[in-house]
Amino acid sequence: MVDGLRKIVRPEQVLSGEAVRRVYANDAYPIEKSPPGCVVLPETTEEAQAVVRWCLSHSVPFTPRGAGTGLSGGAMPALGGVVLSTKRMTRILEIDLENRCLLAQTGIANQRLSDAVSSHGLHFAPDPSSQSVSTLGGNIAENSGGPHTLKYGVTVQHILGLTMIDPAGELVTLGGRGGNGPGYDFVGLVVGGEGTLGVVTEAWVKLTPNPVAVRTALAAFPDVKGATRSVAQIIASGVIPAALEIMDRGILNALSVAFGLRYPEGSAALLLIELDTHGDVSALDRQMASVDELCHTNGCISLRLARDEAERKELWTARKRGIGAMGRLAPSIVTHDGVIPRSKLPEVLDFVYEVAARHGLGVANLFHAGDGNLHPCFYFDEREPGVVDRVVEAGEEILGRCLELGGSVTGEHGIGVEKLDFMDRMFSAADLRLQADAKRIFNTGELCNPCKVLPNQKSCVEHRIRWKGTAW
Amino acid sequence: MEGDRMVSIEPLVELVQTCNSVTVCGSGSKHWLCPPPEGAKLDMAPYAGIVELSPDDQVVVVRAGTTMDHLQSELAEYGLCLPLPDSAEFGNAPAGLPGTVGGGIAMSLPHGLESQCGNWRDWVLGLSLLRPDGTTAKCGSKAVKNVAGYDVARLMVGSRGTLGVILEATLKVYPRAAMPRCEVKGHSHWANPREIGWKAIARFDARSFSESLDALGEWVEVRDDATRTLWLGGPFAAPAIKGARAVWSSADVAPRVSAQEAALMERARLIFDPHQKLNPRAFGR
Repeated sequence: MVDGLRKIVRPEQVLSGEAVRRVYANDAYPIEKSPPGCVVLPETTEEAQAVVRWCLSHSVPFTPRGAGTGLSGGAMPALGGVVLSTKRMTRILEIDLENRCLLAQTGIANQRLSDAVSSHGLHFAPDPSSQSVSTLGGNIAENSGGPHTLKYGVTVQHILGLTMIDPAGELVTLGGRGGNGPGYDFVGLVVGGEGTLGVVTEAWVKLTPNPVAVRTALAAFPDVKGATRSVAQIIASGVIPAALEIMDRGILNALSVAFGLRYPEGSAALLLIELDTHGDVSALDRQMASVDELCHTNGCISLRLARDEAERKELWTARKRGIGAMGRLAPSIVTHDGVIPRSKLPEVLDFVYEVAARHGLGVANLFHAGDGNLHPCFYFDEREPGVVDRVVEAGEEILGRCLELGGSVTGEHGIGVEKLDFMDRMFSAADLRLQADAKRIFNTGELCNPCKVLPNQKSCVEHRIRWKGTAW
Repeated sequence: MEGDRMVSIEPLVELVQTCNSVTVCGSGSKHWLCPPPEGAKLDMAPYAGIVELSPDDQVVVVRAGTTMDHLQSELAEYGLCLPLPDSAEFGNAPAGLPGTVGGGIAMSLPHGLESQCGNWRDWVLGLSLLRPDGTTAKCGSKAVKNVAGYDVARLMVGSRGTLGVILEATLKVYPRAAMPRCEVKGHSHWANPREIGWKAIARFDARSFSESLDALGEWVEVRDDATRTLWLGGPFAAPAIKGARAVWSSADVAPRVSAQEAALMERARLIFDPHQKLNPRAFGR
């Protein structure tokens, strides 16, 4: 396999060996691991196409991978298959300021897109926590969110066009710098396709003008209920904040242990509020004043308003480093991902604490309160016998409750392999047939990132048997 | 708030199952953009009403035959709306030619608040569909963020009824207090375009916008500089919109997509509607 692939790209672009297989056996979803045969790093769309065609002609399954920060196993390869890494496809190919868009290879880190146009007062709006490393391709595959989706939308709303190698090895171009006109929104279908509808190598992304003014505040509450009530009232007042993030006592504790960060005495929850405007700055200040009042009405201990950009970054530290800080509390963490209608947040939060207690697990919660997108973070030591099962069970109970309350089993992380079993619970057989029909528009084969997203795909049992040993 | 009235989909299912060719109809507000009706008429207007409105969550579930007027006025009672310009103030053209909710989603036309507030593809959280074989299926959810499975709802927006008939839509709605001002210039009320002749909506990129504005002159009824969209009326010459990257027009033309995308559209249509039953001539086929 390695020799064959080294004939179509340079030898150093094909990685193999025990260490490589171990590293690429999983992404940031640690529960399942499946070592690949090898990893290939094409540098262009043409090379990527040659790799896919090689895989097709040798019947080897292939899985695209960006930074591997995905949390549902989307980049986990088939046993003995090929990982097609985009990490050498990181160039920006064209910046079109007139039309406020740019064309980039999909291996580029999300943050670098914004960096490239910041001097022009523009940025790429989707900002997942992983943005300093997660790639555009990964963001496209998972339709990534982030704190600012509340106002600016998810990744799909910022992708105008893309180039991909379809599961039959053909080069497909969808949309373009101008976005959509009459026709079918194929771009909208491929975004969020979790790398199963093809390998996206390039994309036209929409650039968003930077707001003219931003107001960021961090409010400390003695209990999380005060924070969630404030969120409900802020939204009800008719404001559309740029971000509304809540961190509970568990996260605060982790931040204090990991980074020595200190919060007001008696804080059990933090609410990060960001408002911005592209126009009326005085209206912005009035809105922030009313947010301040609402928080205090709900028992906030203190509200700190950032006076400048440096202080704003400081206030965001709690949110951005929250999950990373969890690593200091215990050797293993699993971050779950569920969504419910915003009004059900307090109820689900209570349930999360109850489930954690019942399973004897530590939990910390960080969530996009404005969107009802919850991230319960369980911390444990995976070497402890039986604990992993309890973490998985706890996650299942929480997602079950999300479904009961009219939500979804995933707001951001995707289905991948992690939530295959939940698809039957969220969707009927007819609903899944509809999705399978959509997949068939692009993919009727079994080699492009197989056995993900849709459960009970006919070939998957065969896959597990056939690929149990070696690729060939 | 629960449903306005109980309406059964049985007559709709039966018609779709028994007829070979079906034209899906709402209130006819956009029919000039569609081919002449043929086969059986699937009248969606009676299948109307709000199924569920959650003001705290800013989400509404509504039947496809519900008129935009009715929906907007119900939402207004809670200080909510779908972000479309007021047709009384700007005319119905930049308001997206409002008719029924189903028609709005199926056609997904440009409108005057699009650059600030997005379009139907941004507001649709989920759909319930009637497929040409008479079965029903759902996609999406009531959550404002959801990445479970393939985004079939997004594929359905703008698909002009060719991939399935929209029965119900779950929509994200917005606080009226937060609505920006509509910045379009001009006013156009396309009451009956068949009387007035050639009409089109054309969207341009930066370079071709200014050239086309010069060429089109008096035929521009409304312009939106933010999205570079022109609403045009009158016997303007087709070459003047040659540079447009997207055109919605009363001439029955195929969409301006690449040959590859056209082939994919045909493939999708045959997968979702193997017997070419639903709006078979849509998209200039």
